[in-house]
Amino acid sequence: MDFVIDDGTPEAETHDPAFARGLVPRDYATDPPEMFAPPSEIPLIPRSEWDARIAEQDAQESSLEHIWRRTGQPVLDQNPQGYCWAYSTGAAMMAARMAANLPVVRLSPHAVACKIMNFRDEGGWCGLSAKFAREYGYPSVTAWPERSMSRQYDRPETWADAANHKVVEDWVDLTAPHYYYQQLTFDQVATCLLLNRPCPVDFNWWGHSVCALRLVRVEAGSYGLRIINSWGSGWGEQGFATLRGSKAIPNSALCVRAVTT
Amino acid sequence: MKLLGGACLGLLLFASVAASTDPATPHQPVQPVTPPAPPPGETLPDWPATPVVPQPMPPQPAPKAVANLAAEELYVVQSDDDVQLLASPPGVVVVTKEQGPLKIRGLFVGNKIVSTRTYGKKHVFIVERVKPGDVELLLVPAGKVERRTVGDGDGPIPPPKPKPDDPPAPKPPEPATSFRVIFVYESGDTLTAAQHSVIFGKSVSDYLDATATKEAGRPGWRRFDKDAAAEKEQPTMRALWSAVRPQLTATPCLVVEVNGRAEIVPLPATPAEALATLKTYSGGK
Repeated sequence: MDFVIDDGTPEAETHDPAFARGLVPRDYATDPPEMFAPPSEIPLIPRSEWDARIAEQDAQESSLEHIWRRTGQPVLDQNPQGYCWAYSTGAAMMAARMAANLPVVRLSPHAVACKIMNFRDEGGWCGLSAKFAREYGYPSVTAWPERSMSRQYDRPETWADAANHKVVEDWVDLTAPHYYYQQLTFDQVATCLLLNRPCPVDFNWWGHSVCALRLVRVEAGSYGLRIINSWGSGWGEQGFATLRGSKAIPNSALCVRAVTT
Repeated sequence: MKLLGGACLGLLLFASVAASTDPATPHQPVQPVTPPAPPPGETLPDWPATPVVPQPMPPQPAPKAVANLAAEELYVVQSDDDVQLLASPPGVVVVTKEQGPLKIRGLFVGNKIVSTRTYGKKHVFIVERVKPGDVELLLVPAGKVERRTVGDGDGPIPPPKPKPDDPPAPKPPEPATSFRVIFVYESGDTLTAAQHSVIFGKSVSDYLDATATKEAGRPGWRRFDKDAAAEKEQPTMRALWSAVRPQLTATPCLVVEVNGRAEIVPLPATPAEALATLKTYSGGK
């Protein structure tokens, strides 16, 4: 069907050096899940409902992927910096704006990553950028051009613009492998996606962070995460792909429930 | 002449801010206006006015302005009071009086699809056209007279001749020059699959993209968490949200604004029902 990454996908295909990654596994000792709302607040949609809900989303073209594609907005491109961890959250915030039918605003994750890492090309995790998004917001590309590493854009006007694009509503830290088994994490992400809440997701196997937009049924009893990557439209299926099997279980994940309106 | 049928829903008035498009222009405070209650001791039938009750309400037919009653359509009036519905001249429509509560399945006036509706009042009148021509409906509740005229679609309908003891004739609905919609939900709640389809489905969003009033180039419809601030919104959308937000009592629901008047209605059950409901507000566009 589409571009699928599973346990049989050669590493050469997912670790192409032409595409920058940059995930640093989150250290829960210093960044515990309690910094966000607890995952126990999410009432899980049982797996018995998944097929019907996925079919309904397909029939009504109501998933976040459908909504994103209808906007015609190209996927983001982080290259050559390893700022995936800021792009996954940025894409989730853009998707949340699209879900609210707010004007499409292309955000500049490079600005956030530059600010956090003091303009060094260093890795991180989605929770790091999401915390920044809650406190300061993401500027648009009109305030900080895409992929710019220039300090000239680090100015008050830029951050005033960023304040228009914050994560504002409660957001949920879905990780919690310390407290829950990982399968539950997948089910939490699945629930969020079935409700059109975008999820930045980190994968240690990939050394990469992307944004999950949709739960898909790969085959009977097997589900995958439809993700939007930050490697431009030339990768995957116009920038989208499906992760399945063990490749789809995130090591760290967040849910963006609402952004500045 | 238009007919106003079905249940009235919560009304808010938020006019006077729609003309402002300058984000820097401060807004006048929006004052929700609640229609006055009937005088003590006076009980009017469920037509044309009902007490204003904010949502939620059980599913009821949405208020609609009816220009013409086609041969296959039903126009239904209900009341808890002992009233009579008279047609003048006779022979144009047939009025059947039934005892409520009553479920009726059929093609209701103003709708494009067959649907089932429940009428909970004691007295239910079903009006059906049997031959072309205009007809005036007279609802007579305990000494009061309310007048409506049904047209057949052939040419303009003359207004009824006023009588000294008549109440003021209702004004025909104005064309929808302003039409905005907000789907309201709690982002922490689990929507059902059907609710999800109504709020996020392509058919509904395509319709709203085409019909909702644009502001700064963006169609005037949104999907908001019930706690959204909307402080960065366009002026009219911000004013609409600030007017209706304090009135929200349950989610998910639908906010519809037409010509400066906003209503909060229960979320339709399906995308098809949502489209039918929205078309009644947008004037069938």
